[in-house]
Amino acid sequence: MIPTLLGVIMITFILFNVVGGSPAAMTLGKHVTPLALEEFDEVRGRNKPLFVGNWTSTRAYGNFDFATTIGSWKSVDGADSLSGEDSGGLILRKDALYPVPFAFPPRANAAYRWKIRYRLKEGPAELMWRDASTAESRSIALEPSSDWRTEYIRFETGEHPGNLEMKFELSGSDLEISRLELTRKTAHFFDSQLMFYLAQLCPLGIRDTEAGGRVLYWKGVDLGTSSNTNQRVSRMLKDGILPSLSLTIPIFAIGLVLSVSLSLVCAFFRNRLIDRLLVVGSVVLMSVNYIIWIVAMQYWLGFKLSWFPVWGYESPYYLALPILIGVVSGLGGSVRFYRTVMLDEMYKDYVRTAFAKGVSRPVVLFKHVLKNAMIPILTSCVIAIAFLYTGSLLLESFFGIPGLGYIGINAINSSDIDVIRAVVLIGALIYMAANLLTDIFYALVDPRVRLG
Amino acid sequence: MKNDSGSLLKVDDLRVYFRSYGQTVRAVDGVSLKVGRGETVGLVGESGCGKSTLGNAILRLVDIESGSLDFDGTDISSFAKRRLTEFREKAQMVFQDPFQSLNPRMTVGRAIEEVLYVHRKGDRMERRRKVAQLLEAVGLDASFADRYPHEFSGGQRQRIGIARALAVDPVLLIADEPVSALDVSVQVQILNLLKDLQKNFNLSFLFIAHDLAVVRYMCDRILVMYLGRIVEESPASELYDCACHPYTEALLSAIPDVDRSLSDKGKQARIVLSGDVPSPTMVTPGCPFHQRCHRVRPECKTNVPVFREISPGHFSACHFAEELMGKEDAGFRIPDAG
Amino acid sequence: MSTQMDNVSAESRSLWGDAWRRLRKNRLALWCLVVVVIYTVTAFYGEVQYRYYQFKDEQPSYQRPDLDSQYLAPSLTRVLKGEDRAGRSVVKELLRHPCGTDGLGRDVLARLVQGTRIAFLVGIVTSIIAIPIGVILGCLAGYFGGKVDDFIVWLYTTMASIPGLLFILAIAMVVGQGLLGVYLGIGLTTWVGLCRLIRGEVIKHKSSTYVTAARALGLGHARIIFRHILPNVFHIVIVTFTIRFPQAISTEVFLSFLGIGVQGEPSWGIMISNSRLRLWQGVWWEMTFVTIAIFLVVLAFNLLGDALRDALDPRLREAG
Repeated sequence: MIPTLLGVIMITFILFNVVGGSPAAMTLGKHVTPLALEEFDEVRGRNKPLFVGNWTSTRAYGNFDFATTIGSWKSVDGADSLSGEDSGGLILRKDALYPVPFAFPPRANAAYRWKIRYRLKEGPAELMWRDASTAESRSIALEPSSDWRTEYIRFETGEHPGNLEMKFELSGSDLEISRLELTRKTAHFFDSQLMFYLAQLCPLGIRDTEAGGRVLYWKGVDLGTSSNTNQRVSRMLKDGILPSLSLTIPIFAIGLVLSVSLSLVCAFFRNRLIDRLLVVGSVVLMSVNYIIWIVAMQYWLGFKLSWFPVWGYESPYYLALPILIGVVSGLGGSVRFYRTVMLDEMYKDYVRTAFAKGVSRPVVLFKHVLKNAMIPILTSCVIAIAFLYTGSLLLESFFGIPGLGYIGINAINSSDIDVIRAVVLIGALIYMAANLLTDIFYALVDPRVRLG
Repeated sequence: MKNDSGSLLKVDDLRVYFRSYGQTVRAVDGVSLKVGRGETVGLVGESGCGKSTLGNAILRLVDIESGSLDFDGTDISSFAKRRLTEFREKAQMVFQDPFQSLNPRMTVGRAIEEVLYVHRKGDRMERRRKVAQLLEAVGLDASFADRYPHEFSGGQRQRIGIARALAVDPVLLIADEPVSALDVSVQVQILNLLKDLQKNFNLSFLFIAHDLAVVRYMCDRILVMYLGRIVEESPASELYDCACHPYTEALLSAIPDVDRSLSDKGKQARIVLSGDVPSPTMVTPGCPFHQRCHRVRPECKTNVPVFREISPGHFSACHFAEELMGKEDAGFRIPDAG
Repeated sequence: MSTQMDNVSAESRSLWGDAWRRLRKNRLALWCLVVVVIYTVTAFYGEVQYRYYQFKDEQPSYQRPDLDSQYLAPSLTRVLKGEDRAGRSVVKELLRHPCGTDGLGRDVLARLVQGTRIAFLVGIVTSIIAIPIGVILGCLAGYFGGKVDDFIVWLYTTMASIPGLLFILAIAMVVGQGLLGVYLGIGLTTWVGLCRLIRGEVIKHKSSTYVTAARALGLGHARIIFRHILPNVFHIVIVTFTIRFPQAISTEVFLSFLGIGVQGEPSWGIMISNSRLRLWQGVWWEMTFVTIAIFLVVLAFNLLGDALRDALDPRLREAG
């Protein structure tokens, strides 16, 4: 159970952080300031290295590929693009001062590091920075080098980084820059996206007890914030549970009763007309696409005949149509499967013995076959509960029922990463809980199985 | 028949333990035996005594706990996989279940040819020829090579299994209950085939069975196994006349004797062992057989008997083996097996 | 010392041959096979069409709007209603837009053909992804046991815990536009079932005598797994394929309906989505024909899968 849980967490992490990359651009769109993007990432702990690391990228200075453009340097007088080089570059002509064009001021009390790949025929060329409020100023000289050379320059910000001025001061010759990157130092080596995520799921705090000691406690899971509605995701999910259950539980219960009854009928009238009809019917029902069920029923029963409402969550009546669809669409597969289970059971030796002893058919069916067949049936049911979770995705979206499925689909459409991730995680948890229940149930019911 | 210049197979104090969930099953618990060139050695015992495991262990199909396995002068007990391939050409096994020992999806010819291919014996043409030879050597028509296992009867499948085992030109064949799953009429055919093959191909056999009558027909020397240990070893000619271990007595008494009439009680009576075979996970103090022994005495419960030579070539692990040797009713006559 | 064989037929009978023979006797299965073949040919034709337009770098005919022919009912309906044929003969009119046109005047039948192409692409590619993964991992887990098995079981248990459709949607969303997301999403989630089944069967076969014999004969692990065990469990792969294929198609319909996956090409899901609202206005043909198209192929595969399972069941094979 635990390894699986860890596995699920890892997979959600890989899917949404590693592969997914930066959702900020995806969610907020193109015409948004770097500061807004950075803040988005900050809240979600994404402006950190993935697993471990000391340095992380920052949008305070946008890294430009000098091949195509010199980017924010365009606003700086005298900065020009270096022509004739394969990967492009920036050229700062000698005898001038060039302020570094930050997108937004770097954060307070943090360490940053430039990575600069440059060429300098002769010096001096200095990078100097000054905190206007404290009037402190520092500078680092770049060593002249006729070949391309990579250097790292560290600097630290004070209390009021808004007043930071940083400029290149050149006297000797032109400074050619082919790469210029800014990274920020992380709080510690393990300050990463992974740790952030784990901390979100399992935030621990220390609290003083009455006895005077201190104890570790769990603050309750933080599933993030929706980029769509800006609500706490945990809140959204909590609101969505009831509508979802009001759909899934009736579908499950009615479906179960109906399929078991129909499969009993099949077993009872084995190979007679009604059995064959049911078998054919099940396969046909199974083959109709779920969407078609929804669209067709909505059209016929909702629109043409106006028996049921098609959208909304006003009263229980609004649930009638989706429940009907959920039951009918699942009927085909269930009846087929249960019928097989029943028939397998009926062919067993103890049943034949019962018939030979003269026990009548219905009694055999109900007393013996049903009881033993229920084991695999209920086992598959508990798993089916977990699958109802996704079935409701479509039903809720099409009928406007504000449950977890509806939330999920909306999140997919609006690329609301936090919500999707939470929905996936909760879905996995439900599945694992269902599995656990199945194991327990099996142990209780099947006298041959022993726990552990 | 026995080549005195060293035995082909020499097993010394071999142990095979299976471990699971904290329990240890001592399937083979200190077995030593020898098979000389051209010899047929029989190994008998009840189900679960460890004889099949012993056979598997000799072929290194299961892991050995301790002990040495000496084949043709080389100790193979600790051979890694690569060197075992060579050894696999020298010793092979004929399996008990003819219905399961052949891959149902491969033609018989391909199954045998594959063995030749893996051991790089000749090109395509030569392999095909060898397959035909082998099939004929076991009494089947060469054209059967293109048929599938399910098209054959049990006896025929067993012949195919033998042919396959012979494909690598082994010198030692371990036959693990090769006829137990066959009809009685077919059993004799297969046994005779094995005898012929032994002559034609210069084979040595380790013949594992639970049926003493079968073993008598085939073997030069017989070992009796109980709960992972050898309790008696004797030349075949002697064993049936004078068994020196109570367990062997009991086994011998169980052989159906058509000539024995109901009135012939007394010394020809069936010995029925009491109790069940104890679980191989528990180590019994004293003699491992004492709980079921019909001749049990107080010292059997505490002292472990030593496996020792009672008379030339005849060993036993019973405290009173010598007494049994001399006793008149210690032997049983078997009518000549057909 | 030749032995007699009473019941040997003239030709050797492999297990596959037996299965095929049994399948042939099943009338319904044969019809399903015919349907599947027809669909496959259609899909192939659709692919040729697609490539042709790619090559010529022009907008395909099934995507080109023709606003003069919007919402034409199917030809049979038009003819029966006696609509104006603009001088065409009855036969010609019947051949013109037999399934009607959609909101932009595009021929429904041509779009259905393209939809078939996409459906089959998805079915085949996802099978190419999922089947090897499932089979190889299942074999490794079943044969080697121990830590390898523990790891693979952990892996598929974890993957199976994540709700299927959601997982696929998330993968598709993360990977981005186009069919690649659909392929990866479906492919990377559906190998689990197959892996479980194969693992179970391999474990059973591993302890059977012919495998022990193979080891005694000095055959290597790879050979035993792929040449001996795998052919004996392969029937599971085939049956699983016939189940997964229609499931993949259905899932693709969901995805394209929701706007994820293929863009700018007529997938069945997109067609349903387009025609959904028109239904209310009495335009029934696009929705109906798409429904029938999907239904028939899924039904055919389901029935074929059942028949195959019966035909391939080795339990019926044990001559004993």
